[in-house]
Amino acid sequence: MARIVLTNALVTVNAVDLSDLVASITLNSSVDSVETTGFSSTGTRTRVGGLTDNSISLEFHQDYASGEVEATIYPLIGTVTAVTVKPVNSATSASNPLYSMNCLVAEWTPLNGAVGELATASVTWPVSGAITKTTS
Amino acid sequence: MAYKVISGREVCGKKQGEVLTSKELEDAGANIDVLIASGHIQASQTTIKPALSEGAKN
Repeated sequence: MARIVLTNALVTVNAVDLSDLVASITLNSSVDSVETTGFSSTGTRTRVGGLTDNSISLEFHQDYASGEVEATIYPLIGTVTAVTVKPVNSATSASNPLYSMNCLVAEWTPLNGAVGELATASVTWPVSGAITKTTS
Repeated sequence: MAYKVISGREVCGKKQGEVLTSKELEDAGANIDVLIASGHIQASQTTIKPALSEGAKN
């Protein structure tokens, strides 16, 4: 299995390809740890998995032009929208899986940056439901 | 219903000037009203006819 350096990842929000305006992607998945420890001679805690909680963090380069980042995301604030990500923007395969999910656009930063810096927007959106991983 | 991509961004993998169907957008989970409002797509005059079966008449 080859290591991968992310250079050409795919990011779509509401079916719109915003890949070239995204600088970083983090897809998070965690499962609650539910304790099931009972009296036993082992003296150790036992656990089972509980609810899964998924989220995605993205760093956008802000662009206010028609059909770009701000125009695409601002109207989605407070709604659940389709998001897909893929390591490489090419055919989906076992070594290039497509992750699809519905995210609550719970936050947005229309304007962010200091003097002389690139205007960016870093967001973390919770996933509503499961993440679907497609390998073909 | 068909929609034409009018922004410079690919929508459902379709480029500017290409036509999408409602089904393609719905299958992708897209919010069509927002895509129209944000200037990505517009309703297209193009009608996509279903394939005719053998012996069928127009």
